[in-house]
Amino acid sequence: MKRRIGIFVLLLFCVLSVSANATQITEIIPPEIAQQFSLDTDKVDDPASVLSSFSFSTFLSMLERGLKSVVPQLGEMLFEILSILIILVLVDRLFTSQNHRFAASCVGNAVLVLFLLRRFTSSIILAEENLETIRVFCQASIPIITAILIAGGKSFASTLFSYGISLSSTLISTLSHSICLPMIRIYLAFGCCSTVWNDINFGAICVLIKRIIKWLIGIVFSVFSLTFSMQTILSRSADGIAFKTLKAAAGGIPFLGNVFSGGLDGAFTLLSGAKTSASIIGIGVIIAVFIGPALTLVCQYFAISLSETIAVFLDAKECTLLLKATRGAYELILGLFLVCVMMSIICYLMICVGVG
Amino acid sequence: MENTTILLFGLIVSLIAMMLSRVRAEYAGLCVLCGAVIILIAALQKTDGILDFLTNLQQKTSFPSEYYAIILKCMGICILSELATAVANDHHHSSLAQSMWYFTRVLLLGLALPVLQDVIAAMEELLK
Repeated sequence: MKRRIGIFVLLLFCVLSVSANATQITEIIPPEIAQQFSLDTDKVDDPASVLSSFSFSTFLSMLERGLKSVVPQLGEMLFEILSILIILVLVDRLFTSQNHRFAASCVGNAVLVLFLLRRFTSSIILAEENLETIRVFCQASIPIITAILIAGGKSFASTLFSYGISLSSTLISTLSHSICLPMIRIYLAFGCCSTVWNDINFGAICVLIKRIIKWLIGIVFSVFSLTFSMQTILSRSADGIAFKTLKAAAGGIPFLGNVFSGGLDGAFTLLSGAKTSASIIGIGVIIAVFIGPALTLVCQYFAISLSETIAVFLDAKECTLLLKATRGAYELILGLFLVCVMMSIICYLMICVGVG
Repeated sequence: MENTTILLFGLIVSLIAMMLSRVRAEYAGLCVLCGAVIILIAALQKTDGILDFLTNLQQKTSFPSEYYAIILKCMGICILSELATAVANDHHHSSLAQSMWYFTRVLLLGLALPVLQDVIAAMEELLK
């Protein structure tokens, strides 16, 4: 019997020591994000302390700062598009000869294409970089959160978290680098061509590409949600059974059974707090990374939508086509960005509320 | 008042050209050409306000001013070319009008070449 107690205590220490040796989640937060939160590294395991650092007002102030830096960009972009648009409308109204009108408007359209391409390329790079930051953070958090979960007796939940994060990272990587972003680039390239070549209907190809991307994003998100929900249900019941078995085994130890059982409860409650804190930090970091580029993209989207409305109002057909294609590209990139962020947040959220 | 004067001037030139075409047809064309050039110069003087507005708009942006200059130059070339081809067509010199139009296109292509090169470079960067 003494041998059995010894093995049990040894196993318990082994399990609990995993979290002690693991790196803290605060160490993997990107430095530019970390400085925005006044996170107390000594109270990382306390959910209340973490929640006060990642409070709603912190995010509101981040949003306010982001808006203050983004709104002037919106105005500048709007002025840039409008100045070219006004010249193009002048060209359209000034010339009586169709040939001269076409020649002058071609140059104006080329300048507008150049401006939009440059803006969009920088936006797509911004989205790519931030998705990569989120992916790297999620990957780096796997061993830390897994260790906390294993120590808290949630071995199945830890497997689920590793699986979910790995799946979302793979999907983010595949979607952003291999499939969707290249397709969005091709979509915009065809959109630009449609303004110059009126004879060939490039708009139809654009519509097809847009439809394919929307379907892809929808399917990927559905598959992720379905797989993750199933895994969550399975792991919840498996962890519940494992916990009850462990408690029964501890309770079965003569004389010290109740003490061990109570100790297990206490240890798991403490580790549950650590797990909640880690998930809150994870969600907070992802939202903090997301806010800046999302604001920029939304702002540019609004600038282009507004310009498109003005172009429709002024009856500038080529400009309207070009701005419509660019708006579509921004819609797709925003959708993709949102889905990737949602997948990462769901993984942390499930650990925080769903599985725990 | 000034605008009405210009329009009246156009009408008078047209009447003189009509009368001249019966007496000395070779002077009628010259009269029309002079009148058209004078009216064009008067019209271009009126564009100062528009140009100022566009310059102000451009100064509020970070987009390179060279591109605006290229568009405005192209517009200027097209205005002159339209006048020249219209005068040539008036005198039934369609081949001359055609070659002037061809020359204009070459000129515009040469002027817009930096923009086209930049568009191709931007497209390459986008599809990289």
